[in-house]
Amino acid sequence: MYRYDEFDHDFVRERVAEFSDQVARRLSGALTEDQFKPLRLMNGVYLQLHAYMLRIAIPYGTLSGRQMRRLARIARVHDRGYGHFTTRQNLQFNWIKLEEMPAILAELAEVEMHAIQTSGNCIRNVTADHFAGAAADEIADPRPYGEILRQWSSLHPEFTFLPRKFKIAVTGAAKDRAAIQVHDIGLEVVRNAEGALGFVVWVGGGQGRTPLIAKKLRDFLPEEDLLAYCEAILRVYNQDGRRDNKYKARIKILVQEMGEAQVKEAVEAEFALLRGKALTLPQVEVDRIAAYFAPPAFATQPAVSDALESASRADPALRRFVQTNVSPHKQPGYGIVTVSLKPIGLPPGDATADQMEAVAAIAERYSFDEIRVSHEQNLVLPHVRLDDLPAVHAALEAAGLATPNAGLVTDIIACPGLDFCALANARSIPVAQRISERFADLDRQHEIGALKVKISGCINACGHHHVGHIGILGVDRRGEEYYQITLGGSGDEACAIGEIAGRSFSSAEIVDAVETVVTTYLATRRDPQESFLEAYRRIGAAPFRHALYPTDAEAAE
Amino acid sequence: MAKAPKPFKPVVATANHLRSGAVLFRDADGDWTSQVAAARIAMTPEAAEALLAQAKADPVAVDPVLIEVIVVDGAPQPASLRERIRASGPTAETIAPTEAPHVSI
Repeated sequence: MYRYDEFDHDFVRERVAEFSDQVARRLSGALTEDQFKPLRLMNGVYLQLHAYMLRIAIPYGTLSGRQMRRLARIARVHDRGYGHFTTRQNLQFNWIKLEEMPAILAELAEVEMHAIQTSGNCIRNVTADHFAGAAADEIADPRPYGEILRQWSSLHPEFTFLPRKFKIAVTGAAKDRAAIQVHDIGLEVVRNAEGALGFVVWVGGGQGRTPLIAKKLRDFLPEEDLLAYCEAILRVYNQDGRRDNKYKARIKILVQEMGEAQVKEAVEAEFALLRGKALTLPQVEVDRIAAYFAPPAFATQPAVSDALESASRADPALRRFVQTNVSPHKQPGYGIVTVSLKPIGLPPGDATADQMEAVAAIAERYSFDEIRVSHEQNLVLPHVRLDDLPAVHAALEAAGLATPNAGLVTDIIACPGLDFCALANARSIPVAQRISERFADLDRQHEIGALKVKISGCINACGHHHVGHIGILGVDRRGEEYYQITLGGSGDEACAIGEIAGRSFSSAEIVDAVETVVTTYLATRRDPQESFLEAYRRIGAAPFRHALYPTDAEAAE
Repeated sequence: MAKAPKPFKPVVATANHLRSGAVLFRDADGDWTSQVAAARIAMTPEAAEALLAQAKADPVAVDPVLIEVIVVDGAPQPASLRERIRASGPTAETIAPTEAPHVSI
């Protein structure tokens, strides 16, 4: 894992001191709310419906046990004993007092954490594949590039007041687990014909009220040009992005309005000025950063674990857990464990302080002290010996964290919605809970297979509904909560924006509507191996619309 | 022809507490309360204006605003779902081990 050097430590400590002073001046009345708001947002502090919310950055979704224990302590001492992992691999505390913020940020700084770049119109905390450094299909670990981008972007003087926020995601595998095509910049690590590392560069994707899939600007950008090219993109955006209308200020709108060819031309022209100069990455520096993310000292293990095989035969719960929550690891004899934060009937992404500590302890003992946060609001133990899976499963079960539903219909993404968020139009969490309860039967979940349900409480789409296989968007209709269904979205390498099915459903109707979509899929799939998304792509929206809206006039055509 | 003015609906003043962020309502004594039922109701535009001006003059509160209420048995209840949730806390069942408010809206 990356370790702060003296510069990093000083930088974070200085920020804590600066913000502590700003908080003191706000509490004394020396600063008005209008003066203070931009300052608190630069430090991840929002004012939500019921309280202040603190959003803590988890760079590229990687945590150590010590850091997780610190989050648990903050949850227990300063919040209500739990935290919420978000779709941007961050952690939000929903019940924080402003007067305690300086102490919390100081506690975070001690474990090399902060809340910088989690808000405001800057380059936000960089996200990455949550299986980074572990996945069997990985070309290279994307996290060193995430760290290089972090160092470049933190308080970048030119990009501190962008037209709007700016999100970068990196994946090291062709299988996109980081949703890079719905980011402002999406980077996929690849090798060219000569074996050199570089990036496919995507620009201008995003969700929100105008969902757009990114355009590919480069098939291969040499590794050494990463920062020069990103700086060129940011310069074009900073110069030409719209500042007249908040809703048209993201780079996706610039790409849409300028056109792909012209944006590419502008970026390449800027890049030509920057290339080969100060921003060129020296190999020695890339190697130095990469060394922090070097693979742990894996044991030489047989690819198949007899211990796991025999334990699985004896324990159906373990067998099911391994089937859904363990993914192939690059190292023989190891697996990647997804720790589901989607127990039936509880809020997606929430973990208690006790659970955080349990995960920390399991990671320290069984996963080389590494934990990941996924954008799908789960935790990941990236490096678990297959021989240890029975013990890990038992420890997770004891902590209430062994729900075997990763990737299934109850593994729902949901934003905080109107229960917490000042921007929301409708509640998300209760809808997620009711869907989860409706589909609680594990046999049925397995029969349905891979299915991503994603719920947002407003058009800002924090719940990623546009890329849900089944997306649900909460809307306000004359003071009542209604929910619009989109179908066929996907946030992976075959990225697609879901299509609106038709008129929205009331809160009372929405769970039945999801069930109708699922039963329509089950009735029309070719065979149990054809997933929901595959079936949807084969048969289109029509059968689902007919099932949802028996009278045609209600369906979107 | 000019549109008829919208009939005035009763309002209360609400804000968040500067130190804690907690939801506050302006009460009849010119103090703050966490209970919407104890909030002072302004029944006229003039009373509403005065209520908001007083609330804004108090530095312990962040961004005071007026919200519409329905008066039931003399006590105000927020008219909108958003404000009902603000007044009563999250509606979803929570994993919080400590006593987070849990109410049905």
